[in-house]
Amino acid sequence: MRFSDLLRTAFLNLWRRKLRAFLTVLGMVIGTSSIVVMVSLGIGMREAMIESYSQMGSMTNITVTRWNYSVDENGNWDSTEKDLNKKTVELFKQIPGVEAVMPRISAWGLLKSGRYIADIGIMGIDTSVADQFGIALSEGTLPTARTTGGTYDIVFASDLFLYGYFYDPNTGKQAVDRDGNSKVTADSRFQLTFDYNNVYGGSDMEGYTPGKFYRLNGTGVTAQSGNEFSYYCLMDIEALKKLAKENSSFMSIDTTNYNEVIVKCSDTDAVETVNQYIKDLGYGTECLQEWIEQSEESIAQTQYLLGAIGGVSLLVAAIGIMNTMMMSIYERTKEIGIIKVLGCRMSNIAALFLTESAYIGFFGGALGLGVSYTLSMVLNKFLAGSGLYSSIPLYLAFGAVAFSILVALVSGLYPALRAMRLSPLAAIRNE
Amino acid sequence: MEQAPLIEIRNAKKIYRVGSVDVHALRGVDLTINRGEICCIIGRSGSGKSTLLNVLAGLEHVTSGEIVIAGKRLHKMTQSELILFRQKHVGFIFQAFNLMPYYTALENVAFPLSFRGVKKRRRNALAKEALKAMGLETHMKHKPSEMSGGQQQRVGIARALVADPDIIFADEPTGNLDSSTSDDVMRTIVDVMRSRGKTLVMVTHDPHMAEFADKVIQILDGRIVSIEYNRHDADVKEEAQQGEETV
Repeated sequence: MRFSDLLRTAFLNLWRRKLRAFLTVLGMVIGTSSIVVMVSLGIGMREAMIESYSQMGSMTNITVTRWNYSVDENGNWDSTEKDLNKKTVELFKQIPGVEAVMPRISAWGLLKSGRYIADIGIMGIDTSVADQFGIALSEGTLPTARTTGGTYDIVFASDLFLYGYFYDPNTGKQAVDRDGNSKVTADSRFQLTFDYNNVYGGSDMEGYTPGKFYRLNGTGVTAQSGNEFSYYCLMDIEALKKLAKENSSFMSIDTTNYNEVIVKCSDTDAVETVNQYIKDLGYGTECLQEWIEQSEESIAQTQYLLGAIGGVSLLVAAIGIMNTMMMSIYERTKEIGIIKVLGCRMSNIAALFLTESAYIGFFGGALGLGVSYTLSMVLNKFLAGSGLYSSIPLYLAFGAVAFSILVALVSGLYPALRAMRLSPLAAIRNE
Repeated sequence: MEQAPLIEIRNAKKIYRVGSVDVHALRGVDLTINRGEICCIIGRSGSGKSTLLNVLAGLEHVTSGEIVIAGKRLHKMTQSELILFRQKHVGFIFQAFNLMPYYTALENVAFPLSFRGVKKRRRNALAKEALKAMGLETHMKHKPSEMSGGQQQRVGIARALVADPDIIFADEPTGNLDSSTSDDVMRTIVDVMRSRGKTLVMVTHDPHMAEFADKVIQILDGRIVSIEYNRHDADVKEEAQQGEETV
């Protein structure tokens, strides 16, 4: 029998019993859509998890610190300390799979503009690799290491002027006007000090040498790109180091070492090996990939559970298919006998019934997918903000249809074998 | 002109087990049928005539004995081989017509060809030809429910002939028809078989139908009791006179 004839004959056989075929397909629609929606929720969870992590930083980045903590067999904590300086940065650059290396130090300071002040976090960065680490400015240019005339370059954090960070230390009032706009803007004049006594009093104590005020030259504002750099004001690492040295009595920053070094890998696949390499050197490392892997394990369990719940209705639908096909064989005993007498091969008979099952699986799967997309849209509308999110990627869509065809074929296997073994004598018997 | 008989049955026995009782449907049948013969197996209900037809058509196996058709040993074949054998050599006419009710006459006749992998266009052409030969060119688009019994059986005959088999088996082909239609249909069957040189093996309980056949095999209690030759016209008479060994 030609394949096209097989498809046509099987379709006609289903079409002749439209209502029953429709009901069986409906069962399959419910089965498929329940499993797809359940799995889509799991996938949504995973996507949301990865998205929330990626907001914390880049997936390809490894943060290296000087201290490596480990637990030995007896459960005792141990830590090793390593230098993290220019030499280490050069060393990291040589590791295969590393694209760029960014040393960082961070400090806290007080930004003063007129009578208003703001507490800011300042990060000293290597501006030469700013691009690789996604440091983006909404306006202006990156800070330079220039310190001429005691003026330092700085890039302001994007949200510094948005939410009233500036306040009057004497009254505690926020520096915002009636409309809620910040009275301090990037164009204001700024001074920086690391001595809190300069602001909160106590700097006029006897024998006390207050910390200096430094003039700042705002070169730009960071973009709200949502990575680990956008919440800080940025300075050149050498300039910040110089400030840290001068103000060592107000802040305890180790100027011989970097706080941390960020290593960017060429792609996510390289992260694991580079991470292990640096760990083996004795450094402490942190990367989102490690966290994601841990979260993925727990999400996978939830996914299996969700899939199993959806699977129950698919199982019921599969039994429905089997029942439909068995009924159909009992009804068509005579017809099967006739086509056997007319010369239909055994394999063709089995193929006919399997094709009918496959049709049910295909239509059930395809319609179920349509229902799933609709349900998914509705769910996302009503669950928006609840943390639940449904996502149907293309592989799930194709996989679902393929799977429902497979399930239908398996359900149709036994009925098809039964049909194949029916006696041709049934054709001769007269009721 | 004929070398070997087309159908040879040697000592065929068929025993059904019904509960704990053995029913002997065939108790040792020996029979030869030559190419082009119109045969009629006649007997009362329960005589074993239908069983004989079934084993000849390869629808069931004999318990013992041999059946050789066109050089093929049917008693040694598996079901799948029997189906292939039927595809090549056998056409079947049923008592209850057994047309597919949801197919038109044309589709019904073309249907067996689809199992042989014939392309749709060729299938329809062959089916049209076969229906025309049955005088049904005006009823090709009719469904069985829109046709009389006689017309339905003509569709059945066209279906049996469409794949150009050597042998046609017919199981009470007029059993569901009234007597005047029966004669018509019977004449049609016999005429078309003769003109195309096909071998017909027909089963009936109606002695009147047996009159159309060249060779009438009477069966009783699973045994052949007599074989008679009818004389229809000059040609047949001549052949019949030449005797069993050469026809």
